[in-house]
Amino acid sequence: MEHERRFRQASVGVAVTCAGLLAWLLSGAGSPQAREVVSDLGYLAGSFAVAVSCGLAARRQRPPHRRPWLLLCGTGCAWTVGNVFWFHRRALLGDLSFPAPQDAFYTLALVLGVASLVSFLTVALRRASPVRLLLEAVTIALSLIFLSWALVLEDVFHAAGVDGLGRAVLLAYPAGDIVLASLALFLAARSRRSARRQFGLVAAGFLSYAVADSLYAYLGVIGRFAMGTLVDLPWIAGYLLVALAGLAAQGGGAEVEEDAEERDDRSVLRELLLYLPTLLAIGYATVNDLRGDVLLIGTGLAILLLLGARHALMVAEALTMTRTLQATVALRTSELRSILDSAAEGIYGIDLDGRTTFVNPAAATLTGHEVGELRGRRQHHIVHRARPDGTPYPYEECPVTASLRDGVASDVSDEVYWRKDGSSFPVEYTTTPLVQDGAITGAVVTFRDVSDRRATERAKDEFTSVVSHELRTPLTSIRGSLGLLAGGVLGALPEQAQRMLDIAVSNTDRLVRLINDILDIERMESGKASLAREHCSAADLVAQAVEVVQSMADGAGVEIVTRPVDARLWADPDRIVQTLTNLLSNAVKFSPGGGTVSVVVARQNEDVLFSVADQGRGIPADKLEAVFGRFQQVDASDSRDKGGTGLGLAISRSIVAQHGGRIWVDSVMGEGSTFSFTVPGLLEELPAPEVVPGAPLVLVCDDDPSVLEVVGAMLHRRGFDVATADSGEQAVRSARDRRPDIVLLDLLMPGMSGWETVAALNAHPDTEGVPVVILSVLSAVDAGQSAVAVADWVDKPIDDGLLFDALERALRGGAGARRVLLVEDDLDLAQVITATFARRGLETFHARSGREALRLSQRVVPDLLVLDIGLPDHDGFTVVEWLRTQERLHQIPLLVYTARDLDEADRRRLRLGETTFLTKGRITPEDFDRQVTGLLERMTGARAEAATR
Amino acid sequence: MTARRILLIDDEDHIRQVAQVSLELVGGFEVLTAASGPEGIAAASAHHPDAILCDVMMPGMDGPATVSGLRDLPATRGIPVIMLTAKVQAADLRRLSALDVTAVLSKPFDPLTLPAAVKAALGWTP
Repeated sequence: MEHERRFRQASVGVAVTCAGLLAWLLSGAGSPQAREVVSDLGYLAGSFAVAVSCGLAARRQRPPHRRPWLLLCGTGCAWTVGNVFWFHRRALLGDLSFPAPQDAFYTLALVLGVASLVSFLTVALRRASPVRLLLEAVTIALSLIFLSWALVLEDVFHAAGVDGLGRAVLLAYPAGDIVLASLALFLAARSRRSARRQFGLVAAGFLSYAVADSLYAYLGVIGRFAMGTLVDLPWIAGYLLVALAGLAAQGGGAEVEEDAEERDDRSVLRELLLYLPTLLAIGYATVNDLRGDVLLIGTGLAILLLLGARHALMVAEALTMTRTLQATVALRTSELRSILDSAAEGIYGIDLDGRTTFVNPAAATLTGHEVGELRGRRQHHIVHRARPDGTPYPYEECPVTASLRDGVASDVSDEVYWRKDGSSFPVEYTTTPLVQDGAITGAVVTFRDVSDRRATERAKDEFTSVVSHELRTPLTSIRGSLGLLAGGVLGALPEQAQRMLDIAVSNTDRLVRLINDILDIERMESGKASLAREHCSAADLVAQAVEVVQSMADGAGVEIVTRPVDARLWADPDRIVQTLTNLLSNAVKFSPGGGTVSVVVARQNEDVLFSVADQGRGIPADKLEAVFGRFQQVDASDSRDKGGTGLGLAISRSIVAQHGGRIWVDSVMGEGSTFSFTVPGLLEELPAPEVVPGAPLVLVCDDDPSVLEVVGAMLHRRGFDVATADSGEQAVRSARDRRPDIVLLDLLMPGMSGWETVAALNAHPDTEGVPVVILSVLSAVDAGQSAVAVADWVDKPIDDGLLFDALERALRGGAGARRVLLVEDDLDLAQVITATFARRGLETFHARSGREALRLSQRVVPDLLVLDIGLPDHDGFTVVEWLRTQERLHQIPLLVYTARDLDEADRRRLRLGETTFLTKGRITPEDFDRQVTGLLERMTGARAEAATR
Repeated sequence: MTARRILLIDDEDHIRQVAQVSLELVGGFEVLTAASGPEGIAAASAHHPDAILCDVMMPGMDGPATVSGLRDLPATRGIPVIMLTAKVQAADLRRLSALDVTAVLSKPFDPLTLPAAVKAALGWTP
């Protein structure tokens, strides 16, 4: 940044200096002597700036980038020394003889300048065909010779009054300038993008210098050269531009590192730069009469020839490139073909109509068809025509068709494909829509025969089950007989015999535990054990676990101290108790007699933390992680001495991981160990909301005062305003006075019955529009009174979810704004979706996390849940599992959208009401909108149907 | 009060013997035994036990088939059945609890506590 700022300041300085100089030179102000001194000083300062700036640039560079800058620095030095001589001889000695010592330095500078440009070109040239580069360079040079000869060189060449050396030096200037200018132009046109600025400046500087130099030679020859004239400007500007280039050069040689990502950035303008001298030469030739000038005509012809050659070369290069590309495409195609041909999976593509466009040999082999038989026909009708049970499988219901229609990819694992011979095989397939420019053009289906895998899975399950059974059966007899003997049921035994039997019993128990643990861990790690989560209290779980190990602790003389906090969890209670029991029994086993094992439960942010601490011998630091592995006791003798199976901690770790928690151990040798694990906590109980002004007023009418009290409290907690009536008569009066928003009415009441009350309410103009929700032990069907219009019906005993649901519906008038609960952690996306829903008249409640979603769903009963899988805290699975346990929420239609591909098992876990899966990135906003609308419409239909039932 | 009568159906001779000793000596029940499903159904119809303990895995007619056989006969339809199984995997247990049985107890059992577990499952006060 600092570098860039300095460069900008210097650029402005150079521009201002040049503009000032131009203005001053044009104005003609000052005496000729003063003007000469100013231009002398300008030369000195400019050339010195080149030496310094390029010297510094060279210091910043690494080889090989240092060399050209060093050469440029040398050029600047040579210029400076030349200028000093010039100043000394002209201004102080008044000696204007030619050639003079300064000319030696100027010539040296020319040579060094050319060398630096060549050096730049070698490190900075883009990759291109060397022949073409040569042609281009020669074309530029010839064009410049043409121009120079026409404008300057010829006159200099024929100049009289200069001796042999003088003429040679004089000629060296324009000739060297031609080389300089050619190289500079070439550098500007062909340098890499990253180094363009510095090389552009070098090029511009040398061009400017070359023009001034040639002018000097020309004017000198015709005897009209004078200091303090416009000739000074290109000279000084040339110096300053090269000095600026030195400033522009970044350190390090970054352009080499960027080489890899260098793109072909040729532009028409940069190509034209190469032709600039040629164009100028042509322009000159057009305006002037060249007849008779053999050199010019010869040069012009040579230029034309070179241009023709370059063009031919470029055409040849283009042709070669096209051929190479074609060959590459053919090669890739054949590679793809062989991949398709050699794939063990069946792969076929279909068009929008479901007809096969390509099919690989495996697909044909797997289905028992010839490739030709499959092509061009609707694949579904050949291999997918029936479901596993043999019933027809309509084309419209096939997931492959759905992917053509909706652009949604899906993985299907519970279907079969049919072979040509009429047999079928279990198949797993993936259907992926092909999308081109936003439009679906077809789909690719990849499938594999999973018969073997299914058979293996079945065999493994069966084996596990049989082994378990076969081991247990003899153990049952052994354990039973030993137990009867050891328990003294068959009479008392000698002490030693009793001890032996006790050993036999305890080891039989250990063997049984071992079998259980092995089965347990096998099931858990194969993902077969699913969690049965429910609300539980941490204190209860700890109490249960302590109860299990209490007798063992008593036997060992170990005291168990618990300090639980009453935290609530959303977990599988059996599994958590199993984990706690494992940790507790370990702690007891490793505690010294008289020791204490303490259990602590604490909230840790949103998690619940369980810790079990013992005062045992501790675990070495290098084993802290290993103890959670299978059969990883710290000491090999532990399994014998302590009677453990060696699997307890491994099982605990699996359980905790399945809950989305973490387990670890802290230990101090000789002082004890603390095993801790976390389980995601459940949201805190919601405080009862205040009754806000304008809250809906519910009139509750029931002859049972306890119902009034309970329902009143429930409604209050939900933020409703409540009025009560203990009879129909009172309800009718109260309704006229207080105008409730809704009436909650019992049917069976002494005096005026519920139905009579409804009639009375409807008969009065003040109360006739008030929706009535019946609250009764009679179900709507039993009551058989559907003729009387009531808004809704809630059965007793009251389920608060259903009650609030009914109230919300009645308040909305049955068809008010629908509510969508959107669970999405990406705020931007959420805003977009909310806006889309708002346009459809949907009210959106946005939850940023699973936790917030659970909290919101206790407050609002949504008509639709839109869920992003992959939320930060509780993942979407937990949200759905929790909602499923909620009576009023378990039938909500659900729209799951996710960036990850869900397999069939995932999808099963995510079902709620009608459930639709969308994959992010494979669905357009319009599709999304359409799916939501469809779900809502179907849901409305379903509700209307339920209401008429 | 006369001792409760329990019918024990298990194809494993040794297990039958151990369980019988446990139920008789520890639990004080009167125990009838049968070595197969059909034998068990016949015994149940003939002797009307107060409860039946039935093994799950038996050759020929297995436990679930025996239960449905018992349920098909008017004479044995109402007798509570407790399944005894060495299969403890969740899927197995789910299948069993879907049957019309009072409880499922797992093998190996502790002969000293088996009678108490049976009583608890049947709601018999000790």
